[in-house]
Amino acid sequence: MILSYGKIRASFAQVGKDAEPYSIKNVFVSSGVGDGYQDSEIHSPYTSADGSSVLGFTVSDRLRNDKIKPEISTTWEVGTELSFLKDRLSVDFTYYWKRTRNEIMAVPAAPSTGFTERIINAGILSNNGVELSFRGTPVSLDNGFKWEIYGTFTKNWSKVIKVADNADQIVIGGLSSMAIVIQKGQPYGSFYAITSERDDKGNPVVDPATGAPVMTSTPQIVGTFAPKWLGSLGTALSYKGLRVSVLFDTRVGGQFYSATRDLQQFIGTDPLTLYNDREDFVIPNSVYRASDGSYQPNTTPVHYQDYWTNFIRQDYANNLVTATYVKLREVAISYSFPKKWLAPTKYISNIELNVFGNNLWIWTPKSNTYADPEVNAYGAANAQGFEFYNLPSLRTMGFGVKVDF
Amino acid sequence: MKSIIKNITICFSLASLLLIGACKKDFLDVNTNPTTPRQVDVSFALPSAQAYLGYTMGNQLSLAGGFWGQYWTQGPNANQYAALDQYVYNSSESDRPWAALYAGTLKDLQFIYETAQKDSTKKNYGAIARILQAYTYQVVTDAWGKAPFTEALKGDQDNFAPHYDSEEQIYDGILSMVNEGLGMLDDGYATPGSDDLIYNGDLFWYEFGSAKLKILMRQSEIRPAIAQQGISEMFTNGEPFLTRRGCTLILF
Repeated sequence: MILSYGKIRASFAQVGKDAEPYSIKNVFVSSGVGDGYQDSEIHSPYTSADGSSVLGFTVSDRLRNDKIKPEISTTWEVGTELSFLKDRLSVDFTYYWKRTRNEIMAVPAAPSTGFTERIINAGILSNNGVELSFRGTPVSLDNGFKWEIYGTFTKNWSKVIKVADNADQIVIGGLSSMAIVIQKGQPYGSFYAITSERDDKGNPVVDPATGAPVMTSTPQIVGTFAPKWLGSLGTALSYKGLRVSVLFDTRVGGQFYSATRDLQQFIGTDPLTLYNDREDFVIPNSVYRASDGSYQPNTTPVHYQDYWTNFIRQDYANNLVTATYVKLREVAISYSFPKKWLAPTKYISNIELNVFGNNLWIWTPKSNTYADPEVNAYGAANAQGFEFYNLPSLRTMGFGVKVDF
Repeated sequence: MKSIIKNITICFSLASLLLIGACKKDFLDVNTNPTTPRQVDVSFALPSAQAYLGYTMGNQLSLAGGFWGQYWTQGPNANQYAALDQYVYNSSESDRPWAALYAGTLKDLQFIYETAQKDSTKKNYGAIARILQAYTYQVVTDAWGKAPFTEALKGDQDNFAPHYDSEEQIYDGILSMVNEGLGMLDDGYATPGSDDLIYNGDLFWYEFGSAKLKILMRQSEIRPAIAQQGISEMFTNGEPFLTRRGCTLILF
């Protein structure tokens, strides 16, 4: 029989989540003020006119809330596990649907209220998607040699259904130039920034006097970090006590903001700045708005230095880079000593030696010469996709000995 | 061997049960942060308010004025102020000073003033706070025009959309604020010492009413009647700032 094992499963769950600690009562915090540039901030303790040092405390800018309700997450999923050909091929498929309501979040407040943030229940977020995984054993010999292949595929659709009664957008990270926001109708974590204005065919609009790009007057949603899909593929060979495995990981789609690209273009180390041999150039396909409202092709060259150090940097969306990658996630070799060698020692039941390497190799599309898309300035936080001069990601290699008693 | 391990495990689990009793009583209290106080003395809030005010005046607002008055220009090797230099003043330029003045300075000054209302020994703190509030609101309205005034700073009373008052209303309001502050100054009570970063608690300077004269003079072109009236009043009342504490008025 071909189908050797089959299972269908379904589940429904509802989970509540609490607020972060210290979200209920208003407090005073040690004060400090800055202008966004490093080293020009001043913090308590302050130096008074008579030279002495005084501590300063300010009313915390975050307005706490003692009436918040718990966050409720409702999930249902259906799935199936199937095994064919006497377990030589197994497939697992899941579809899930999840909705989170009353998310507890700190939304921005108008500073003229005395606070810059307040904690409220807001937001309805929906996430649904599929997860598919398979495992197959094409070769399995009687002498113990086995060759397995396994892989996964995941695709998630996320959408912000609602933010708050009086807000359609909340900033969860980024800078004032390139913000990472939650916006109604967009996937969770979208980029929001002022960008180069374009005509309806997508051509950049310039100022006919200088040839410089014109920016939009208000910021817009310009992209998201959310991937189109994620996948992995691995294979393993095993023979008696020896096992060798290799795992590849991929992410396709989505973008991340690269501050490295911004800086490289400013100082001229990005090969893109060599365009036109560093002579003044006409921006390709650029147009300008004529007095009758139509868009005419532009012939005014822009000064190359002004372009790379100033003009193009005002288009913050220019620094969004594709986040697609393929990584060699893991290579592992392990050897377990045969049981009969261990039988004389009555207590030890297994000794295994292993050698492994993680993140050994990465491939990214040609347009990404800047960074590993997985680095994130915020670490494992809600705001993702923000590379801000992070150190490159690391390759790790190691070995281990495992002894079972 | 297996039984030895089982015994060791049992011993460890019993030992860890004993340790639970050693935890602090309010260890699980996630509502009270041990590092941020729920109340502070006004002498901590005053330097904080003044620091935010001084910083904003000396940094962002000074830069805007300096660039537009052409005292400064953007150096060619950097471009952090290029937007200001090109007379582009958008929210990324004004967000920080606005927030520093409202959520920083004005909120703290309001806290000091309200504390002084309840505790009369802090009268001088309240007076200084009121005068500085008038000064700060004048800066805000001179820089940005219409601004929240009567409905401002009420986030903790659930007003999240304060109405913007006109510049005339703000000027009228701050004149009465300054008068109120000057009226509260009282040598008989404690004055701030080094926690007043600007004048170290020397009430003379606050009484000098520099804020008040500036408020009136600023209106001399646009509402000359009010300016004239206010200044004449200051003269005829032999306004303390002119003759107090050994200062001699020389008329010429």
